Amino acid sequence: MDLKKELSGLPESGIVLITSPAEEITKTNMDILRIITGGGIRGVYITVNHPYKTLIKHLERNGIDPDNFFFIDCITKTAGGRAERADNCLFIASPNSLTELGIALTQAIQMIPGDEKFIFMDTLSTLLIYNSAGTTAKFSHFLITRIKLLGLKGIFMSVENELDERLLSQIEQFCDKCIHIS
Amino acid sequence: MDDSGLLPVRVSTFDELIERGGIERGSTILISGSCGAGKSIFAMQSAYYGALAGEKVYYITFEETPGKIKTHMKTNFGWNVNAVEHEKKLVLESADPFKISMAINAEDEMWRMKGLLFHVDVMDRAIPSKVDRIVIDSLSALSAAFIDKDKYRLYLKILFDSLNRKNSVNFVIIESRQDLGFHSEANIAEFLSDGVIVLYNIRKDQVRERALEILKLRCSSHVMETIPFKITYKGIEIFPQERVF
Repeated sequence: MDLKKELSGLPESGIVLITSPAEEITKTNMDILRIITGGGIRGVYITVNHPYKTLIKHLERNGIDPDNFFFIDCITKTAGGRAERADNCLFIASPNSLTELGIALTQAIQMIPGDEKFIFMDTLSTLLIYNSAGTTAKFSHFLITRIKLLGLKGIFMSVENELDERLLSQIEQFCDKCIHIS
Repeated sequence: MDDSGLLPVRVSTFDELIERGGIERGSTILISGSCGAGKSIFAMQSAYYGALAGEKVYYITFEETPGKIKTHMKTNFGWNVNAVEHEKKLVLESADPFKISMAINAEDEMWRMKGLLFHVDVMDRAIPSKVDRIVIDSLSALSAAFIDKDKYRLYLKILFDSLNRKNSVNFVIIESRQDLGFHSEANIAEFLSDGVIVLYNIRKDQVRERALEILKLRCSSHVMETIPFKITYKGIEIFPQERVF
């Protein structure tokens, strides 16, 4: 699949849901981020899977400049890690602090200069470990609507088969495009 | 200061939640919430920024000492309460709720008078001119001092009547249960008040999130949603555009 081609067709305030097999998700994430930031756009990276410190190293190893992002780290504090003050990261208490995540997102978007920005979420399916399917769907709808209202691009990653059918179809209907990587 | 008879609350974006942008003078508003929800911070933030805007504020505490309150407000939020007190814009005093209760119990037939005198006299002496904002922190401490709950209820009636006669906006703090959607036990204070602001400290597994709602406000229409807020180095920060999940 030509990811670059798939993503290039996305409208300015388009939302795309990308599902990928678990063993491919990290590589897929990096491929997507390379494509998006390659276009000179900066964005907010919401990480539910990798702590900020680990993620920075991972991005650098993959030749992606971390300066292209403002990070929202939902996992370091949950894992008992030390959330050291960082100029380009907000640390959330837990992936179930969705209210706090919403507030942090608004603040993070304001930290990025310019009009063209993106929101990247890694990964939506992990939210289900900490939240019910109903709450996850409600939050996803809120988030997607907020991103559309602000005229931004949204890329939501999910591990294949980790979202149940009902939740997946609910989220798919909020999105402009769904890409299933096999 | 607004001459229209409205006084802004001045706590972050709280006034945006009220259609008229403030609270009518002569109103007594209950600030209700569980332990650690931020009731005293809300009241002090309103008092402090009111004083900075040139209002005359009277804050009476039945719980923490004035010294402790000033230290905490300065350390946590950088609010120099001493400075506004020095400029005679804010008076922060403490009172012993047990003394009030004892005085009332000692002379039964005179208790109404004593209850009234305490509040009216102390407030009038503290601020000779007009009072714009009064804070009572808190009714729960007073309630605990009263053995006879009938007398407490009657005392509250007199207290609220005396507050409402002032041309000020009055905040009365009360502790309540913390569950979202269940703000307090039904009591006379809610019935007597012109408004109820509820602060929640919601537990979600290992973490807590804060939210507030305006449950009742006689002077204006207002938002009906539960709005998230945080306690930061600036005090209470309210996020009207956000939602509670």
